[in-house]
Amino acid sequence: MTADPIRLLEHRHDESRSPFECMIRRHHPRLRRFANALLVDRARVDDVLQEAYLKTYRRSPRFANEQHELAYLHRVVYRCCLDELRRNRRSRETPVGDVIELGTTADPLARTLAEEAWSELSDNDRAVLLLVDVAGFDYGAAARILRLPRGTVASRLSTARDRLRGRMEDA
Amino acid sequence: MRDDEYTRRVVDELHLQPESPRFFDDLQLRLARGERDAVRRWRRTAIAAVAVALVATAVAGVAVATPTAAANTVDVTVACPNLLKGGVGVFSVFASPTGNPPIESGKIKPPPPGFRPVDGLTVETGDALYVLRLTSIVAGYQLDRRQCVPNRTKLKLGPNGLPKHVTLQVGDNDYGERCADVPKVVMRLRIENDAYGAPVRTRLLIVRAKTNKPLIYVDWSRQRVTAWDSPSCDFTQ
Repeated sequence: MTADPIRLLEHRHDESRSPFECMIRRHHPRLRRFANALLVDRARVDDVLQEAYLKTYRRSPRFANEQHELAYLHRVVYRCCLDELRRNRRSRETPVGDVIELGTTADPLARTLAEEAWSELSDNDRAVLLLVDVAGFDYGAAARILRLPRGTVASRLSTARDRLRGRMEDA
Repeated sequence: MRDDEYTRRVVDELHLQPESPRFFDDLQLRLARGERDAVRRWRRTAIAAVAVALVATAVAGVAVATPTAAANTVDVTVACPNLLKGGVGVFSVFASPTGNPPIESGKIKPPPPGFRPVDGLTVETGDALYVLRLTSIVAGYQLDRRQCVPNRTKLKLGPNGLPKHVTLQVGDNDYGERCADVPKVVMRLRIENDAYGAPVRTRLLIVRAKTNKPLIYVDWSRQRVTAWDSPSCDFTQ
């Protein structure tokens, strides 16, 4: 059937990129930012994203528009992140390096405070904040991604925002 | 400052893990490896299906299935242990109406080189091991007999009290559901094939092996998919 494995990424420097590759590259920066902020162990971001892209490729979904594909990809990445978080909790490993590594932020103190406040939020809080406030999904789209009722998303968002502000102020 | 701006500002302060320079190269390798594995699985299934068909032909003395042969139905009940993911047995069901197969010169036209047929109905366990895989645009189906063994449990095909989840038409997004903490399932699968051997309609009921409690029921056809599932199953699990 496919003697030659599908060359999805082989010609990425050419014009002849496959639709799948174009789609992934179009949304990769946003998805990367999403996964990075959602995961506790950030060293696993690359693996989790690759797993999510593999799943998407295997499913070969069809999309009505770009917004639809973005929501779908967020959903798959979110699911893979949850798997990773669950694995992480079970192994009870404490990731290191998140805060110690130097980032590009100008204010290292602000970064550390933000890291601290952010990491104290629950997975659910982080997910809803990222989807609505950062990725810009409306409540309906976020509800579909999280598989929650719309009202639950709204209330969780409000609570998560309060928690984040509270944590930042405490820090 | 607005709430969403505040959140964005905090997230901007987070350290972004630098991306591996080999990210896309690694992804390409994983895709190619996955594709090769998929091809091998399909090939094994095809060989097994041909062998079974030849034996059946010899025994029954009927013609090998051709486009003029009669449609047939497969009805099997199997028990499948679920592979662990995150320490618990997990399985997922995905379904999507894949439309009618392209027919050319009295045969189903194979997909062009480099294109994999779109899955119509799949059951996966653990970290994406396919237990069941079928589509309307390829004849036959793939059932992992190493993972699943025949079972005598009598299951009535139908929602069995499960709440309806969704109905999808061609072109809609696909249905996906995951059930966690299920060590073993029994599933009944009834596939109605057309004269080309491609599935026209498939009904799939999955129950918890220990209690026979229904978890997922999917009525799949080429144009429409309707799914019922237990509230204990959740795509985000």
